[in-house]
Amino acid sequence: MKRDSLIFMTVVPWVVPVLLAASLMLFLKGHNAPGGGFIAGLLTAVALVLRLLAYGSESVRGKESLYINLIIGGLAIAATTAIVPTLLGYPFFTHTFGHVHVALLGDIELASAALFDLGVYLVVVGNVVTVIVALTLSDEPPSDRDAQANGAEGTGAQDGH
Amino acid sequence: MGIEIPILLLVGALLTTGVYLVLDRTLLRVVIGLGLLSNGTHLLLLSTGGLEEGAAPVLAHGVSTVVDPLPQALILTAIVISFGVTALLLTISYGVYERYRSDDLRELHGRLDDE
Amino acid sequence: MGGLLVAVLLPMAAAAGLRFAVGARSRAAGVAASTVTLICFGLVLAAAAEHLHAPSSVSYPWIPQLGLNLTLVADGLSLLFALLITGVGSIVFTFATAYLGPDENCRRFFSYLLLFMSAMLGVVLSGNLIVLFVFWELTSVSSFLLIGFWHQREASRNGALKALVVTSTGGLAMLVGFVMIGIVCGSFELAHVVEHRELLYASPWAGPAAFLVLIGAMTKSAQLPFHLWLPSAMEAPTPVSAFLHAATMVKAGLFLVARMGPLMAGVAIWTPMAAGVGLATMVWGSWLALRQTDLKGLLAFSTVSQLGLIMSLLSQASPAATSAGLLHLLNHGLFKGALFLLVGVIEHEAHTRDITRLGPLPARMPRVHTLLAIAALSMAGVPPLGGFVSKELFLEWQLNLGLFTAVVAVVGSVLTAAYCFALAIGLARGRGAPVGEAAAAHDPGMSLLWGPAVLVTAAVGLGFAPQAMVGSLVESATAAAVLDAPLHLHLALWHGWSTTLAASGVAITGGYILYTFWWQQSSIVPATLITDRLYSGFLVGLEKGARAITDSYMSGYLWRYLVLILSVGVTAMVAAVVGSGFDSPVVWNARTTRAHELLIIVGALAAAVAAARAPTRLAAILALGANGYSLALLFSLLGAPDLALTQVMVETASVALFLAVFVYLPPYRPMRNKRFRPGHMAVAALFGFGVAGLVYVVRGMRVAPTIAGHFIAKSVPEAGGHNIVNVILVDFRGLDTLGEITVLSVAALAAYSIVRGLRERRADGDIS
Repeated sequence: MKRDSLIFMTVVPWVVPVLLAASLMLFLKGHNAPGGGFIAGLLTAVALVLRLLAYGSESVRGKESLYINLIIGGLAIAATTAIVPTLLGYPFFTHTFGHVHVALLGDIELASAALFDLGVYLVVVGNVVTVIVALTLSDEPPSDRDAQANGAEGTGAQDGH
Repeated sequence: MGIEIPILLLVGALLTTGVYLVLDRTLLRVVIGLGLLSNGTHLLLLSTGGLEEGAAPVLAHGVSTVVDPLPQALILTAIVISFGVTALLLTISYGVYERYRSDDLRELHGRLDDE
Repeated sequence: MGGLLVAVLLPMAAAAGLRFAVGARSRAAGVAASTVTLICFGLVLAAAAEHLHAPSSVSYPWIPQLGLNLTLVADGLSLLFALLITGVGSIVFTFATAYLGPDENCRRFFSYLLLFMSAMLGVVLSGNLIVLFVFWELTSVSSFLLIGFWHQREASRNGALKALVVTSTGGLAMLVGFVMIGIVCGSFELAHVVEHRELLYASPWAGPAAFLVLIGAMTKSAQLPFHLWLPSAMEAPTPVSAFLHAATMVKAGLFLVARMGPLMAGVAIWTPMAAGVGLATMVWGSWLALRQTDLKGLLAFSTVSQLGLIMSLLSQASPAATSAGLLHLLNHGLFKGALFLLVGVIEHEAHTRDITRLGPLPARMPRVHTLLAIAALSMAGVPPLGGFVSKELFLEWQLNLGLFTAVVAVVGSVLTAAYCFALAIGLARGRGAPVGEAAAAHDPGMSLLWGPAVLVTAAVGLGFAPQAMVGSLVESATAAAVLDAPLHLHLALWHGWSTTLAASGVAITGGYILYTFWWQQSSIVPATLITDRLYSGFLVGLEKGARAITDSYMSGYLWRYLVLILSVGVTAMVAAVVGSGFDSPVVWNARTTRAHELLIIVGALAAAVAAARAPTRLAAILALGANGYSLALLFSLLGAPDLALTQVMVETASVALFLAVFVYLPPYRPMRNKRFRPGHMAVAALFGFGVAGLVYVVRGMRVAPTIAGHFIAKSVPEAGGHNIVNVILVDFRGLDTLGEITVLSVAALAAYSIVRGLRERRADGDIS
């Protein structure tokens, strides 16, 4: 599914890092301002998908297991943050938090809930990218198939190309 | 006019078009219908919060009243889940087409037995 | 009392443990199982020594919230049955260890058998109706497994299914009866129920409860018209037939009648129904037994008949009749157990159990035949064997009852004696010469003979010294089965000259004459059971009916299902709201609409309509995207920035996803798809605006304040977050979120596997 669009290929290298940085911000600030794991994860995924659209399926071939590992890892992190408190004698899913000050980003809160959010983030990124990569990697349809389908339907409009 | 009436009218319209498309025989239209159906449902959930006057549920100085945050949390996960469902459905319709060379539910009817 | 609990649970534990202890075909399974059975026998004996004349019970809480206790009762009745089960069990288990071929899965066999014994002990020892029912069903299930042990054979599978269908249907009827009793009397504890039996008698449920409980007993004990399953159950390995279908499980129904006697004797239909069914079964069963050529078939119908005889006695609620029934029950356990084991030996050696193919037995299998003849004569009621004593008591009771029952009892006894002579004398004379392998058959070694020999010895002993052997046991059991029974039992072989003795003589003589006449018939055609035909017809009809019903609505078309589901759903919702009568005025306190919001709403509406009417796929996808983005705008205006952000991202990702997929799909067929379907639209509009209208009404009926205040107040101090939506997601309702990302992951992995599977198929060349 390689699309040779000059504009696309020129813009994407600039846009993707910006999107990734924005998603990082959304993730870190998510506990106190709009954002959080779900949103940041989706934004990261969108950035990765943009990259995929620009550079074609070759850029992700062989990386499927990486994205699946993101899902598994994310689930593991989320589940761990839920279970660890029970090992320490607290109720299931007890979260704690504290504050640290980091240059540029300002007051950053370190909450164990953020770890859980990290799990959410990884799961969301992994999910979106896994599905889209899997579909992209399924081979290009042979050109004669489209012709055949169109021929059979007669009036069928050829769209999307 | 209270905002609940136009919002609920939109909800009704979205659910109607969604269901109408889900009842269609083309797989892709079913999936699109499901997308409209979930959009309508999300808006419906939000409206159950009351649609009262208030700021976004982000606590800050000077914010006195905020809107109900609970439906929002529910909807947020629902949006992501419906994406997952859409992805799965799309993959299934793709697989069905690969195998049976059709995306028409009426044509596909009973074809599983052909295998 | 603890010993009895161990006796119930140990076999069950052993059944599970065998799996890990021995190999599948190891004979050690049999040795271990026999040891367990002997231990149980010892435990029951010890309990009997202690409690036979001092009944007691003990209760272990199981589900106390539901009033369910594992109550074990040690009284004469339960101990008599427990002794029979473990005693015959010990012999059958050791016999089976020698009997099973080297290729059989011994471990599985003995696991099932142990499970059955545990369940059976649970039935007879239970003092709680629900617990009794649970164990009762467990005997049905383990019997199913054992009948179907040779599951390669179709007949075995059918027989197993038939037994399960019949007995578990009866079990369910019994459960309903139990529930009636429990509700009326206020407890499921048997002792409590018996104490408060007047409550049952006063209620209109007494008759139905008695009827239903009796149905349970009749199915289990193969009484007319439920006798069809027992002959089919003969497909089981012979030790199973001896244990389950002669000595123990089929007696569970009799046990139930005896156990419920104190309660049910006061219900009008109980005694006439049970006694009538019992006598009818006795006569009809013995008539059918006489017409069998298969030895096991003969024994099966003979068991049906004998169970009928005992049923007619146990249901009388009279000390004399009950003690006679219990004595005959013990007798039957011994001689019928022996007969089954001996038929098993014959089949083992001669590879047939067809009377016409066996030829005269004594020449080749003298020991087997001697034992068989003694057991059969005991069943016929020939003195001085054990069967004579209890048969006398049976005849005495029925003669005293009236002329009709007397005639029926004598006719039944004549028929019984006839088939017993067919076994004892007929097999000695043979019906023609032995055929095939039967000619070379010979007596087996002691490993297969000592078991039947012990049983036969006991059966003979019961004739000479019944009082010494089982007198106190039967007396104590009768006391448990009949209320206020002042009974001084004296069991003896000789009762002096009496009409009863004359009736016995008639029965034996008549039986011999009938046998000789019958034996000379050139051919015997086993009857097919009417109930059997009804059963198969019922099964076929059930399957056809189920298919017809399913086919009537499972069209395979998604839209038909949805139209049905949505129509019903909307109707139900509307009916619920209209029915509740919303008297309160609809109040929302929603803020007023702003002009630009209206614009966005109209835009979203237009996008939705465009998605439905789009002539091409691309247009439809883009319209759906536009709808999503409009919603995102709306979310941001309604004070939900998180939702707006999420919606934007998801919409973007969705469009990419659609684009990735749709290049593979064929083009729309606009001509056909653009056809407007008013029916669909009507259902859709009814649903869409119905739901919206419901929310409009229901939201206005709000009676309690939102719990949002809680989250708003606790968000900063308890979770350290100012974004309440995020705090709810990751903290307050974190478990929900964990569940949701799990669902998401499953969906993604499923999608991934589908695509991967397709790619592999294509790589294999399955798809062009």
